[in-house]
Amino acid sequence: MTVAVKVDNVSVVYRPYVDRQPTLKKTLLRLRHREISPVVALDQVSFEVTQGEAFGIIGRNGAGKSTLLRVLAGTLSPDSGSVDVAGRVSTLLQLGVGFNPELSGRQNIYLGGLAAGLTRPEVDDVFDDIVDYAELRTAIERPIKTYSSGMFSRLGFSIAVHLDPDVLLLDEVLSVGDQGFREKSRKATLGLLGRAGTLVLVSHNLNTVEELCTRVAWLDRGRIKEIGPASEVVQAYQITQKEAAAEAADARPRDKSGAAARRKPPKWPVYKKTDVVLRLLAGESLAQVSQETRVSEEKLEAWRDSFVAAGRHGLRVRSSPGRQTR
Amino acid sequence: MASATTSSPTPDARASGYVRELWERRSFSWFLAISELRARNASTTLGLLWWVLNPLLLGLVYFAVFGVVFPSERDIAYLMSGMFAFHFTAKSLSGGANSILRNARLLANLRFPRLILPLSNLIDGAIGFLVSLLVLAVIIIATGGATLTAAFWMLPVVVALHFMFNLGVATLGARLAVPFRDINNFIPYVTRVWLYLSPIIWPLRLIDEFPDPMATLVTANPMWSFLALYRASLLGADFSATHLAAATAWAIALLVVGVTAFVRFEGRMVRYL
Repeated sequence: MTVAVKVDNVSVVYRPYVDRQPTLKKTLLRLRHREISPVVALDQVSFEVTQGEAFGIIGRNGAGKSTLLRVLAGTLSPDSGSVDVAGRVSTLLQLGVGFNPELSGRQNIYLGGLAAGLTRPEVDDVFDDIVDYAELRTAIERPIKTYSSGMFSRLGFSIAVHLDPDVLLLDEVLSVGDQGFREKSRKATLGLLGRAGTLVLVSHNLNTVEELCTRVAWLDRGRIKEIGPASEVVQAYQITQKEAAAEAADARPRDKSGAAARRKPPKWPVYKKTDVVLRLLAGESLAQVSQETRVSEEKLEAWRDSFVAAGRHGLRVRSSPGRQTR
Repeated sequence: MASATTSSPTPDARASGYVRELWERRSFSWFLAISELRARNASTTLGLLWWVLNPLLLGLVYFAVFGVVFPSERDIAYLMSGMFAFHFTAKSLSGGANSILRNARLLANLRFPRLILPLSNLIDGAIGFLVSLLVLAVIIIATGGATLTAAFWMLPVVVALHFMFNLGVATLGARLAVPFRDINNFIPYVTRVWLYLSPIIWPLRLIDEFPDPMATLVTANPMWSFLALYRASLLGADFSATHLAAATAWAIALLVVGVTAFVRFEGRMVRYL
């Protein structure tokens, strides 16, 4: 398998906020006392992503996920270590902002396309597709400062996927736009993977990560805490998250009914997160169907059959509370 | 496409790769420059015209003052040739310093040779400058000062050297202004002092009357040589090889220093945005 992304021992150290916009005065003062505790955003991170793979990066806020994507995108060079990305990289690190707010959607498409290394005729070729995909036909000549945030996001996502990248880097973008566009962007991402493109996805939406990605890296304070098959890493991460949440809840009691009310009412046959669990006899979890996944009864049957055929017993499928399928 | 690597084996390979990437994105530089012009056109009624109007109006103000201080020597072609050329360099300094901050979104999202930003700022300025040269031609002809000498054919060389010099100024400005935002506040004063130290609003003969440290400062000033060359090729002033040598040296030195400093800083740039 060809390696599409190779990250070798990468470290990034940010200087703390007060020093991020150094002034002459501060720099001169620093000649005398230069002690400022550095913030390590990435600490000797190494991994490889093979071509055609969907690779997820999860972790809490400030774990270094976005910094890692920036390093992969080549917009930030690491303090040490090296990064190799084979092929054309397309990124949407700050999707919601557009490139130049004064310019029209049309000009921004050209700006983004040309900056990414396309030639003008190449941008001409994909221009209509980008506009149609983003559903911006009527607004394309307006300055993008007049766009809504959803329009920005659609335009940005549309540009990124139409650049025909070999490696697509996405930062929390599959959750932008309305329901319809979200579905569309998921399809486009799957399409990219179908064309042997490589995807690196940063998201807090664990369901999306688990569903799209084959492997996942869990970043914790700049280090890779765990890396491996998506379901395993996501589950390990969820367990610690729950423990952390439980600790927080113990420390500070809160209104439980309020939390329950905020959850969307499940639409049949959308199963809740832990409702459908396939288990091996040994009791270890094999796969977990995520919250948003629609699981048809046929699929459940098929799963069960394949498990039974493999000589494994003890498959337990639970559906919504009170509805024990088997 | 070639492998995009943030750490390359040899400096030579890196430099040639950088130049290749720059060349691959030439239409991007051009488009960026044009869209800056367009964005300005969209937000102001006179748009591009301001590029010519600003130095022209400032020149007229000084022309009035000039008339009071040196009534017998006022020469609008002399004043405006200096004004337009100086304005191009001053714009390169302030625009170059700003080019990174202004395009922060583009920088944060996409990987491309950052040199494109000051470069397209230079293209933007060059378009305005070439237009202002036409205005200058009208002024020269209207005031009857048109004398076509052999030195006129030096003009493309002078303009080319001036472009190189300005790119150096722009990259150096960008290199310094990104980490040290204070610089942006200094630039107007630096520009003002530089303007006074250049032979634009005072007649050339005055150099003999300046006290020594100032006279040295004025003649060592790169604009001293550039303006002398412009006036030699456009106004029929005496052509001097010394000025050409000095301008060439300034252009090459600033271009090398500016671009090197800028490119070395590129990888860290995004941390300051």
